[in-house]
Amino acid sequence: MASRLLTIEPLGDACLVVRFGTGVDAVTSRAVAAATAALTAAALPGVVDIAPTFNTVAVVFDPHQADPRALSGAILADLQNLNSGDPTPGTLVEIPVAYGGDDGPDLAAVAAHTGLDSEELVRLHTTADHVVGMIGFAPGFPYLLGLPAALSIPRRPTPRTSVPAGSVAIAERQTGIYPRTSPGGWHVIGRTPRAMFDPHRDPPALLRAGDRVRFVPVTGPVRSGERIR
Amino acid sequence: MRSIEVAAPGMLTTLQDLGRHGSRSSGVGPGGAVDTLSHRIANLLVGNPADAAALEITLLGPRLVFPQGAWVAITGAAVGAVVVTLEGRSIPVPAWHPIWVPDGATLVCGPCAPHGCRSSLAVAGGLDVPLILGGRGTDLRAGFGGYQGRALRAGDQIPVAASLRKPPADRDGVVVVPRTAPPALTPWPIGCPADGAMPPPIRVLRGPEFEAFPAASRETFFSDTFVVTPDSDRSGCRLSGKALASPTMALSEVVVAGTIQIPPSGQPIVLAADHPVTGGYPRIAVVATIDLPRIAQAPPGLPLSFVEIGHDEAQRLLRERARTLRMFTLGSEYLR
Repeated sequence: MASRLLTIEPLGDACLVVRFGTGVDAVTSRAVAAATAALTAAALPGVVDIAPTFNTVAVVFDPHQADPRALSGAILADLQNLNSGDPTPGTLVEIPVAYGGDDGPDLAAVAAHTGLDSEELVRLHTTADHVVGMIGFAPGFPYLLGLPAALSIPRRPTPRTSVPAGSVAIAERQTGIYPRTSPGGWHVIGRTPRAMFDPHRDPPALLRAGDRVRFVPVTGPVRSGERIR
Repeated sequence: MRSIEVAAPGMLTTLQDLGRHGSRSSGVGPGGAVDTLSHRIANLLVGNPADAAALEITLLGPRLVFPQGAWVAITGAAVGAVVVTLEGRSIPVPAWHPIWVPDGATLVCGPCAPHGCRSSLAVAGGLDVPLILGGRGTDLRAGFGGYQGRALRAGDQIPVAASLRKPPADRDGVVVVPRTAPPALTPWPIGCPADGAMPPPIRVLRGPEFEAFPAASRETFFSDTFVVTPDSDRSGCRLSGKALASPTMALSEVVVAGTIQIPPSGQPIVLAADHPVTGGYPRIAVVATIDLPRIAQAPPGLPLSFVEIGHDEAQRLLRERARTLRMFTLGSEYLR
């Protein structure tokens, strides 16, 4: 099924990108997850990493060890019989969040932009089914799909220079969680004490592409350095 | 346990290897040495495997004390290194050669300018730090790996693994081993012109969004000159030139080292080792692997231009480089 939909394009001379259309939807996510699993299991010679995004799977290879044409053929062969029709649903992960106040300095601004009051905004965010579209931007940073349309808001015109670790932030139709204090352009509505990334854990990121996420409201404030592993 | 003491750290000196692969799905980029070629050669010169952990020096080198004698090699930008012995003698030592630093001596490294902006400093045996997620390199953004997840500071003690390589007959003296390198490696092809002249164009492959750029941007990208700006770092080489109008991206996409992104400012960013695994800016081109070490060495102020090559040419250049490296590896086997 997937072999009819996918294309393979180069990204430089050390990476091939398997693309499953241009959309972001559940069918695409399942195909990406199935292809990621299949290519990881295949362990093709010369391949050093497999990285899923919203609608692609990147195959990073050592150009001294693998020829892109041969590798492209091997990838197609491996994905020929890909069964993405009946996948197991992603793992459900609950993320506790203290909304508003110092933990969510942009909650009031988001409420003003959307015309919702803070309670309704939190209710919508905590009752929605979020799905991890991909991990990127920073180690352990999840791009979560499924933000209700009523909460959609453009990015901040000027990014903050420092967003605290654990900040839960929204932009467009997505939610993100900052694993570590860093600059950021999304609207911070709350904060979680859960460690999104720990290099000594396997896998190091708390979430992986395809996982389902439910946010659970807790009372704050979340103290800096507080960690639930 | 043998170790090296950091007397002065230099501007930004970190432990690096050839990258941390296999964790992109957790958002962990490869990191590792920005100039992987200099890293490989430095290790080979002291008899290490090419991917052993070594120091990456940025712009200004460190001052290191060696309580126990060790073989070292410095490659990449020349840092005007000097070995100061316990008796107080200062002996200048060349880059691209195995050097014996005797017991108690201090290795003093100067600025990388004008020939580049990074140097690799390998020590026989390799720097002995834990393997985390398949790599020993320092991830500065996430704060793990390398030496305590950070750049070196004065007072740090860097552990060195045991080396099979024997000290020289004169173990109290500073010894420079003559090098029998293949002609293609002398002079090393990655250096920047000393006189500030325009280096040959950086060879690139078309990026996935190339066709989506306006014709004027595509033309300017290949015909104009861009200057390296001082805010370049391990995550990318930032360039300044005529602004390039760019298309907008619907979604973030995967990026690799060498990816040339055009943000809304129109000023190109060439991603380097510490790049995030995904990016939301259109990718006009990707630097061919053969020229990544040249971009790695491009210092602020250097003018650069780009030329397109095809995939077959990129492969051919890499095969050529691999042959040269194999000769070099064979030539350095006697050091083990």
